[in-house]
Formats: sequence, C-alpha cells, structure tokens
Amino acid sequence: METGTIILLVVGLYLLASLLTGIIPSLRISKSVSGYVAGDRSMNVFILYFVFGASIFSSVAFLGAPGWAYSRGAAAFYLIAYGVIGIVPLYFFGPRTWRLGKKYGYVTQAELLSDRFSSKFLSVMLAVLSVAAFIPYLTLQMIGAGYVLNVISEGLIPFWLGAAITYFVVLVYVYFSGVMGVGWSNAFQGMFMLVMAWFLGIYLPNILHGGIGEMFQSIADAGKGDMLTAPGLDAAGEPWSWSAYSSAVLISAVGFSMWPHLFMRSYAASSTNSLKLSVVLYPTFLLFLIPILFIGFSAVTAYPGVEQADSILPHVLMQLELPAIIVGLFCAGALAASMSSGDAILHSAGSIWVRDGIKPFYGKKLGDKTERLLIQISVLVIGLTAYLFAVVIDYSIVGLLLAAYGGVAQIFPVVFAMFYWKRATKAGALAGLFGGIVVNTFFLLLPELKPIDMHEGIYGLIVNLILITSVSLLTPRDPEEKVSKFTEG
Amino acid sequence: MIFGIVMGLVTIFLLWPGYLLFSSMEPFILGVPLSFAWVILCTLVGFAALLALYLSDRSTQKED
Repeated sequence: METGTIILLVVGLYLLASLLTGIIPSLRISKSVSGYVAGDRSMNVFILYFVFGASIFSSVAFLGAPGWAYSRGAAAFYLIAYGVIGIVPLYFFGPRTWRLGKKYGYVTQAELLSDRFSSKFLSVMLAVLSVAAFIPYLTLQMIGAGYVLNVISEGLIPFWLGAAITYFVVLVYVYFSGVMGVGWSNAFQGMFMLVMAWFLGIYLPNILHGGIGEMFQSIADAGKGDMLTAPGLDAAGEPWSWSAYSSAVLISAVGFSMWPHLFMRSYAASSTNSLKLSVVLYPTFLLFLIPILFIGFSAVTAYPGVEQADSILPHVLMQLELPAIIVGLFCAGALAASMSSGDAILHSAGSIWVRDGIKPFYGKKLGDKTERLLIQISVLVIGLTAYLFAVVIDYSIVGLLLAAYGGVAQIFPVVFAMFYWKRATKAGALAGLFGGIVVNTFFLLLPELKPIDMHEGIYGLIVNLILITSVSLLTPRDPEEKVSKFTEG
Repeated sequence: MIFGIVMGLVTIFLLWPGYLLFSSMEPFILGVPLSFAWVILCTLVGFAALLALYLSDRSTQKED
C-alpha cells in the first residue's frame, strides 16, 4: 500500500473510533438539560482525570508547545509552571461548587455567581466574557487540526479542509451527546496522546542527536545558550523580560481554574472525593509536557530556520521518512489533542451562552426541551464562528492561548469573594469584574501603552481587586442568608 | 497551613525573583539544563504537597 493511503487510513479509523466513543455513552444519560450539561453528576475519577488533562493536551501540546520550545526556548517552561500553581484553587472551589450544585441544581459557573450576587446582569456579563474567551481558544484548536492534516498530506489537504473535516466529527458528537460524550472521548484520546508524547519525545532526540543530554549540549555548542537560560526568548528572538515571563505564568495560573469548561466539570463529578483526587493527580499530566518540549528542542539545531514554528513537529516527522504507520498515528494523536479540547470548549460555550446569556430573560417559560435545542444550535453557531476566524487569522497558537487567559482570569476575584469574603456586595462584584475586563481589553488592543512589560491581564486584575474591595466596603452588606449559603461548607 | 507555605514557596520559585537563582543553563542535570530541571522539580514538589493535603483531609473528615 502507498504511504499516503496508510496514513489516511489510520487517521480515518481514529476519527471513526472518536465518533463512536463520543456517541455511545450518551445513550445511558437522561435527555434532560442536566444530563447534557452536567452528565447527571456521574463522572468518576478516571474520566475526570482525563477531562482535566485534556486542557493541556490540546493543539498547544503537539504544535504550540514544541513550536515555542523551538523558537523561544525556555519561554515554553511557563506552560509547565502555571499548571502546578493553577490547579490548586480548584481543590478548594471544586467541592464547594459540587455541593451547592447538587443542592440547588446549578450547572454553570454564572448560575452560582449570579445567585450569590442576585444579579442577572452579572450572569450575562459572564456569558459574554466566556464566549469571547472561548472563541480564540477554539480557533487555536482548529488551526492545529488544519496544520497537521495540511503538512502530513504534503499540501494535498488544504488547511481549511483539514480543520473542517475534524471539526465536523467533533460537532456531531457534541451536538448529540453532550458532556458524557466529551468525557469518554477525552479518556480515549488522552491515553492515546500520552503514549505518543513519550514515544516521540524520546525517539526524536535519540535519532537526531543520540540522546537527550547530547541534544541540549548541541544547542549550547551552537551558541544558542540564551535559549536555555530562563526566561528564554521573546517573539523577536531577543531575551524575554522577567516581568513578561512571570506575569504570563501568574495570569495563566489565576485564570486556569476559572475556565468555565473546567470549572463546570466540578458539577459533573460523582462525588467530592473523586473531584479532589482528580485535581491531586493533575500534575502527573503536566509531566507529559516534558517529552513534548524535548520534541521542540530536538529540532533547534537539526532543522534550523523553519518559518512556521507551530508546525515544527509534523515538519520534522515528514523529513525523517518514518514508517507510514507511525506518521499516521502521530497525526491521529495531534488531532486527538485538538479535538479533546475543542469538544469541551464547544460544549461549554453552547451551554453557557443559553443558560447564562439567554435564559435569565425568559425565566421559567423556557422548557427543558427548547433549552436543550437552543444549546445545540448555539454549539453550531459558535463552532462556525471560530472556524471562520481559524481560516483568516495568522497568529501563534500559544499567543492566542495567552490572550484568552487574560479575560478568564478576571473571574477569579468574584469567585474567591463568593466563597470566602462575606462582606463582598453585588455592586462590588459587578464593578470589579467590569473594570477588570475593560482594562484587560484596553491593554490587549493597545499593548504599546503598558507602563511595564507585563501581561495585560495583570493590569486588569489589579483594577479588578481594587474595585471589588473598595466598592463592596462602600455599599451596604448583602442579605445574610444569601451570603452564608455560599461561604459555609 | 503547611500546604499553603509549600505552595507559596513553589510559586515564588517558579517566578521572578525565586526562579532567577535557577535560571541558568548550567549545570546540566541528567543532561537537562538547570532552568528546565528546576521547573520539573517544582512540579513534583507541588504534586507531593497536593497529595499530602488530600491524604490528611481524608483521614480527618468524613466524605459525602
């Protein structure tokens, strides 16, 4: 058989398997909205572990992370650093969220917050913010899928078609089966990727340099020592500033537990214990980024001058003339990475848009059936929007990721206040969140106005914290029974 | 409490200024530059801290 045929066959089989693992679990879950969004609160440690892990193993892992290691060196370590800090808040917020969700029937992040601060406006603001942050995140997943199929087929499958085929499959199973489809396909895709990551991360340094130590030595010998010295290089190839590196780690760590698609999984857990245990095990997933970064470093001296850093891994694989089956498996692995995050984001974006953005205006009039249908329609619309961006945009994958984190991180102060600060008021929460978003967006659009070279989200957070504290203290307390419902337990 | 201190230290040592002390390429540790090995070590310490917290939580309170 021809090489191209084998590769396509492997990829085709993989897509079919994803489709099946995505659809079958939904047959056992109720047709209600709670079933679609929170899986009837039945996810065990095994599934939750991979659902959290999939947040790393997105397009960022197989394309963005090696791309950064290849072009910016030690800067890529930020991806490992923020995860271990960022997961910690979820250990404390998660079980509280789970108990409140079980007792009062919440399934989204905004439902919790808007009940605590008795504000429909807060709910709508969160819905808009979430969807606005989700779209670049989803776009980068699609770009990843497009690159892989394009490079592997040697240009035969154009970028737009590659992204379209992959996301058609994702749309199908997200549309029909909701969160349990996402969970089971994440577990399947996750295991697949772990194996691929370690295999390639050890195989490539060995075949290109004769070992991992030799690989780093060759980078040092080539006079690229700057690359291996933290915090690495910036996009222009100059040493990156400490303020930019530290603020990137910090903003990502703060934002990480606030991603609505991760936060919402707290509701889907089968018990607080399984939720806690999956959070505790999360750093083991981070260790799988180590071989991923080795892949990027292995290409630094072996294949200098590749323009499109994000496609460095497929590029190297094509140069090596590996057996078709390995290339096919890698290709499927990279698609799995893109899809496992893409499906979760799509699913959450649709649910949040309807439950938090539209439903508050209808009250009880919106029936369960209509609501589920509306969510499914939103999934289609959001998927198409992100796809349009993916086709026209030209931006680095990790760059898009960092931009999305700035907005999400602004949710942290209100969530923290909800659980731990009784004195926080409705006005304070609204002012903090709104102020944070405005400042973050301002510096995102006009980065040259920043006084110090820090991530725009940090400026947003500073304003956010000042406003939530001062406005809360200046306004009368919120009713006691409302507050204690959330701060106790 | 101990968990808070350990995670606080991990955070400081992964950012400026703590990371500054371990930011150089040399020495190579098992073939990996110090800057990289340091981040890996911090991740392992963070994992150990979370695990210890989980185990102590489980022995002190009943689960629902």
